[in-house]
Amino acid sequence: MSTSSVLHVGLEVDGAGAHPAAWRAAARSSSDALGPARLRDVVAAAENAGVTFVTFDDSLVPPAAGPAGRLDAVTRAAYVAPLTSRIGLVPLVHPAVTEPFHVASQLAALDHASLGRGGWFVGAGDVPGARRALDRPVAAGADLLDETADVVTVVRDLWDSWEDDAVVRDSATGRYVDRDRLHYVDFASGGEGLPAGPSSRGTADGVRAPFTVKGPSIVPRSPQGQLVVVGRAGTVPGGLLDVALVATTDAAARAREDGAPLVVVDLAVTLDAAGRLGADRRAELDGLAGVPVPATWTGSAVDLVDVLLGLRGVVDGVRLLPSELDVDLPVLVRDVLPALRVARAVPTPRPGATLRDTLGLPRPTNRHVAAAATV
Amino acid sequence: MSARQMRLGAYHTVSGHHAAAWRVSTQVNDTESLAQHQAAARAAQDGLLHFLLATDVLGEQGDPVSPGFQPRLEPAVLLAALAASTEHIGLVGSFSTTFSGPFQLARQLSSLDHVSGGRAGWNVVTSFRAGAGDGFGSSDLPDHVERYAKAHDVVEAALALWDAWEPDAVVRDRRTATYVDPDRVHRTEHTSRFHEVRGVLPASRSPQGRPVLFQGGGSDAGLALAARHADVVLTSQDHLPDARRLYRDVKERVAHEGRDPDGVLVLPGVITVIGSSRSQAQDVHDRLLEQVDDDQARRRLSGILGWDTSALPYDAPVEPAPATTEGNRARARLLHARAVRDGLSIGQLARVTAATRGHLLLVGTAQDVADELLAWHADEAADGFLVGPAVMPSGLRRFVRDVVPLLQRAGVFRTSREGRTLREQLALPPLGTPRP
Ligand SMILES: Cc1cc2nc3c(=O)[nH]c(=O)nc-3n(C[C@H](O)[C@H](O)[C@H](O)COP(=O)(O)O)c2cc1C
Repeated sequence: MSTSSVLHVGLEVDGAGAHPAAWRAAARSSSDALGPARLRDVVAAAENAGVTFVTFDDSLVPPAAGPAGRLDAVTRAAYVAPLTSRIGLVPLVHPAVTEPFHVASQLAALDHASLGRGGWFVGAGDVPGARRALDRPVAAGADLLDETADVVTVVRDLWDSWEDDAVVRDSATGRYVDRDRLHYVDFASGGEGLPAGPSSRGTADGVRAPFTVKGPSIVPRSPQGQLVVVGRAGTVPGGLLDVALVATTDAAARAREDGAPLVVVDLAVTLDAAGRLGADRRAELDGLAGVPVPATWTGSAVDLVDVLLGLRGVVDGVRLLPSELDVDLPVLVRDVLPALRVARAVPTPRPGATLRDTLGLPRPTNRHVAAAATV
Repeated sequence: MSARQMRLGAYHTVSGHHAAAWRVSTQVNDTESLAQHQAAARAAQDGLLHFLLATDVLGEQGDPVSPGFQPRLEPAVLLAALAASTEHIGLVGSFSTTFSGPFQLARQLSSLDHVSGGRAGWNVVTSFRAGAGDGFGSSDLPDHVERYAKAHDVVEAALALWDAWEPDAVVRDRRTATYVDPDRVHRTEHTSRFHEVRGVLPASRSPQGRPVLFQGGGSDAGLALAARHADVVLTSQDHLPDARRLYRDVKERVAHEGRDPDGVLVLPGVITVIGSSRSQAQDVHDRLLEQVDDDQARRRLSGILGWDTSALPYDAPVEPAPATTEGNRARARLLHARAVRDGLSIGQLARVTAATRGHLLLVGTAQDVADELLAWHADEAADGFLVGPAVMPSGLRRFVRDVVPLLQRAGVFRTSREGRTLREQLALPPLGTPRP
């Protein structure tokens, strides 16, 4: 698939910002960094600026530094759904720590509630400590990659387990749902030993316990048919993704070869703002953090616009991770996104458009309908 | 306001509780439409109702699909979206303890309480349909005893996880770089034959401390769970003397657990058909009844009773029900009692079930409905009601416009809101009230 010349801009909206010391420096950080009021403001600002989608980071284990105790990402996304009308909402759900059936039904409900703006950011990486919380072995390493592929597969199966027109509301016959248009998924994962749960309590951690899902889903097929599945390249097979996230542009070609329709690069930024250089702000934040923090891009809004314009044709989008939302987001909203729009470099999400529409991704035909059509 | 106050919840649907409601409604009911859910939630809020209950019944979509099955939006997502669309109404969701672990449930409910500013409630259900486990690699529904044992365990683990965050644990001290005071967050160590949960819930203490706990299982095991943990007991009762008995039974069980009986509310479900005259209400009810599909109604009845009634002719008498069922025990008992009391045949009982699934059915003018509710309330058969209009959205609008003022005039229903959180609005005792 060739890259287009538009660049989608995504934004991470977790907490007070991507830098673990953000809550200490930012203007509003004496207030709740993790509560709903800040979330509403941040997502509204991003939507008004024409951001294509926001991601909601999450973890079942507290971060090494910074505010602990954030809210469930799906709940946050569902909360802002009725407050927005154009922006994509992409919560992180880790496949190793949530029942696939619940993942599928909650995300499908998010897609309904947002009229087709839902996505799934597939969590990756080991979750130390999750086993103790969840009372079951949690896969790690290569096993985790296999389990992730299984979970994404079955969630996608469940999203197709209702045909689009399964809700018939046939008043004449009294049938509300046509059961013939619902399908079992009958999925059995890989893995060894006892299925995940108390029965596998004796199983060593890091072991991949098998699971099965019969289906069908309890939620009808959602507006997008399949939500936009976003995952880090290398953690989910490209063919299961709609959007592969890469850490650097060097990895973009590889992710594309792996089958991902769209490739988006992560870019952590600390911008010149309020009369201070980004580099100085960054140094101050690092001083406050007390733990090593990966480097970010620092500089002015004008320079960032140049960087972003240069990404066109290399990747399909960029996910910005501002160090401090209170400080960096206003600069993005006021100076960066308008300049990109003037340059016709970014799409303008329209009210009523689904996230797939905005991203230029087709709505997948339901596999059961597609199969019937080829018989 | 000195009289004992009535608490009201909306038994939330977008299409009404009667099995045939969607066939007569003036609105094309779309259970996936958030806009229709928002309209219903706002109507309930405008009527000063205390909460709405979003149900979820795992296994309804199995094969054969549960008769009358209409899909729902998953409650955790629906209620979070409604939190943003409403300001005051309590947001209660059914979540099954049989197919979710305490950690995830506790986290999502705490998150709902946060985004709603303290309006979350959890209707603790155990699932009763045979196919409930189809999504979870569990081919058989665990038996009744096992389900309730697990329910106790999940609730207790969740309570421990919520309680582990002290009220002032989030300090946000910028100078000392302390967002959370580690001395005020405790590790939970919960070990049982079902779960071993060790750790800290990654969601700080929510505005209510924990969601208000609702429970709707009416079997002996269900009532035991309610007596120990519930703030609100939802029941299904269609006969005043029985409802009075159950009410007393619940309060006695609560007292037996060392809790204050006045601090636990008993709310029966009630299905309403309200007309401008009695005959008009009866017409609507008759029209609904005409639309009932007898085969579907029979399958629905069989599902609740837990045994297959399909071979019996319409006029067959209702046989003595088996003493126990692995399904919905209390409801099966209630329907059987109803059939015996009113001399209903199996076909007639199926029609009643299509209309009410066992709940009290009130058909009449607003005054008729208000009088009946007032009588049940005054007679100590109820602390309030879970109001399920037979047809939506008109039924809820009518209840709010015509019945609520009559209850207010009688001095038993609030005319303004006091308190912010659901717990405060329901006038439940504050958390931390000593327990055995
Ligand atoms: C008002 C009310 C609402 C209920 N909502 C649900 C529900 O949403 N999901 C569910 O699985 N069970 C629901 N139930 C069923 C019960 O909670 C319980 O699981 C069932 O009655 C079986 O328990 P029992 O055998 O103790 O009666 C509800 C019950 C009542 C009275």
